[in-house]
Amino acid sequence: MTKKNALTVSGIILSFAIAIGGWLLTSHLIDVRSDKLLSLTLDVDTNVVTQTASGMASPARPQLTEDEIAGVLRNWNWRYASDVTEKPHEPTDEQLSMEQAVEAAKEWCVFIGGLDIFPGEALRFEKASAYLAQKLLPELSSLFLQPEYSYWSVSLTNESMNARMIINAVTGQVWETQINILRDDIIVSEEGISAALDAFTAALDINFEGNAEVVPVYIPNGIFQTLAPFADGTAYASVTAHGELLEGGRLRVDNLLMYLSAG
Amino acid sequence: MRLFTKFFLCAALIISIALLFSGYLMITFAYESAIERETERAVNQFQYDKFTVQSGLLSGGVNLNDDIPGSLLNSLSSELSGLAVFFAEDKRLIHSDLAPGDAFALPDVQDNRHIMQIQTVNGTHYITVSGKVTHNGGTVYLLMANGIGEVINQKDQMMRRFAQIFFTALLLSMALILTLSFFITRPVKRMDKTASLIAGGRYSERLSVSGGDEIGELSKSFNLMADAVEEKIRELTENARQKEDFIASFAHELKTPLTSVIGYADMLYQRKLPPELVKDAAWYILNEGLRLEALSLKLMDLIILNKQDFVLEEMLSDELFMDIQGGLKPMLDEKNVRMELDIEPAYVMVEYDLFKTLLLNLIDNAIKAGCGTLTITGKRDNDIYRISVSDDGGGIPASELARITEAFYTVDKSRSRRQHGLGLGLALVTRIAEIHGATLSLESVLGKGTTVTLNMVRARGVDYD
Repeated sequence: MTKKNALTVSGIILSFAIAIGGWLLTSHLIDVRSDKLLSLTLDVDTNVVTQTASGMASPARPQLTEDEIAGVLRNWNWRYASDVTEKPHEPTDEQLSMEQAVEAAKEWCVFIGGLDIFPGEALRFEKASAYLAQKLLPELSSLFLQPEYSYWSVSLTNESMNARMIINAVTGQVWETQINILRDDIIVSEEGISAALDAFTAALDINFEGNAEVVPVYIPNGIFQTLAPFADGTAYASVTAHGELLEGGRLRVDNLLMYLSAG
Repeated sequence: MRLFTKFFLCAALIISIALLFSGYLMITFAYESAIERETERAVNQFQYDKFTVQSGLLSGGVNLNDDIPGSLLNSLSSELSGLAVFFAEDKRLIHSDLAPGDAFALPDVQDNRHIMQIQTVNGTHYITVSGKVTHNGGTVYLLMANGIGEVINQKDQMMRRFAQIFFTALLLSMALILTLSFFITRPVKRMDKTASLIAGGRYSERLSVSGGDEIGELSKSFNLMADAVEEKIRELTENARQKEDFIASFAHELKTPLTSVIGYADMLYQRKLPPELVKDAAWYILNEGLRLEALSLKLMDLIILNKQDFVLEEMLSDELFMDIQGGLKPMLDEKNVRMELDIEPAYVMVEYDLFKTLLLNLIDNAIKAGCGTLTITGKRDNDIYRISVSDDGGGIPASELARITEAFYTVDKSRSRRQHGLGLGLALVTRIAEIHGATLSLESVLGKGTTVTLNMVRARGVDYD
């Protein structure tokens, strides 16, 4: 073998040695990086209230203006956008504790029971679950908004129905109620729905125009819906019942929605 | 080291580094993003799980200062998103979803903090998040664990896939580089072979030029160099031949008069001769001696012309020729040659003595050719001053014209010998013309005469008519 050929063969062997050596080095570096990642410890500040306060919701909770409510509702409407993150968090001192939120939800059920839609025993719930969260855009998910943008989602269940209430974490007001009914004896008329809206708007202490209107019934789906806009038009309150339309213009209710919404 | 080897090494190095570096970046980025995503998800989910536990404690009316019923813990853990481990306030394990014997370590959790860690149990990696759950003044520690084996498997899969891609890409690149380097080095090899052939004496070998890239340009330059080398070799060969001819002619020219001189001298030395024969012998010795003297003088002129730098001066052509004509008159009268001058005045750059020698040699050649009339003209032609010396002598055969300026070359050797001709005149004229930056051309018609034309560059002086 000539010297040139020997150098060529050595060069080719060296090339492959470089490639294989480079590969081994890369694998080793990735393993080192992986080991470093797997030994990671993260200390997360949770803004924890050291313990859940016992007792009832404070009657002296601050009231938000219509503008502030509309702003919060616009944020809450993001719940239905796919790129919005729901970020759970611990309550701050200004916000309701879990016990207070659950208590507020139960009190709201008592209020709904007074609307003459549901029989009194139907709204007695044994089991509750709740969480506190905010809706945040992904790019801002590390920055929490003001406390009033947080909401407690409280779910109450019993054998015949389950209710989910969205409660403003600062005011303690229930701004959204969704009741799914598993029994078939809950029947309402259009007037009953209108009366429910009147009661809902009265309970919120918000300035409505007072011209609640009943939207025509949609058949065959069966939807009764009433709307009451805020005086400044930035938001509205609504009571909507879904179910089966019966003779005489009455509705057998499958679920009932009572909510505030922006726009 | 061969060029191919260098290409191969460099390519292997660059491709390996580029592929490995990008692979490293991609894999670590994907892996870190996956871990980060899992971590964020686990931390978020832990908060939901913590709310679920708090709700359960609230609904169950549990006092954390008492023992929590195991059924409640089982029920709670079934509602949580991962493996749940509960520790009492004193950090005693009270419930674990792990198999007996396996355990997660509870980190030191402070108030208002959640601790995220990656822990390994039985070779499986878990993201664990721990925090305090407080209720009615009591505390319980919750540790939630979610396996990240999928993320790690994904990383291992990426590594394996990347290894396949890396080595495949490397082999393909090497094959490509091998082919490319073959095509790139092929013309270089051809050039090497051609250079070897030229070095071996085949000066007419050339490269075929294809393409306008650097190799194509190099091939063109190589061919130009080969042209120059071939031309130079041809010139050197011609010069060597001329020198050989010169030496042979010189030896011959030297030997002929010496033979005569030696023969006549020997005759005078060996025998007692009558006075007439002695006189004849002496005349031959004198004649041949004069030829030798003339030979030595002309050779001296040629040697001087080859060595010296001459300074050219600006002179008016008509004055120059009138002066020369005056000096030539006795010789022309003796030979019965009529000289006609037709000179347009112009400034020319000449070295007077050399230029006079040039003209004397041309006139001497014309006289030796047996001319009766000699015509010298000087004409301006833009930047050129054209001098022609024409005679009506015997002329030169066309076949002899090419060699007439070579030293010792004579057309009619017997006549030349009679007239003490050496064949050096036109060689001198040619050299002097070169010194003046002039070109020399000869036209001749056998039996009618010869015209020698000298094209000189005019000086910048203002001419007059």
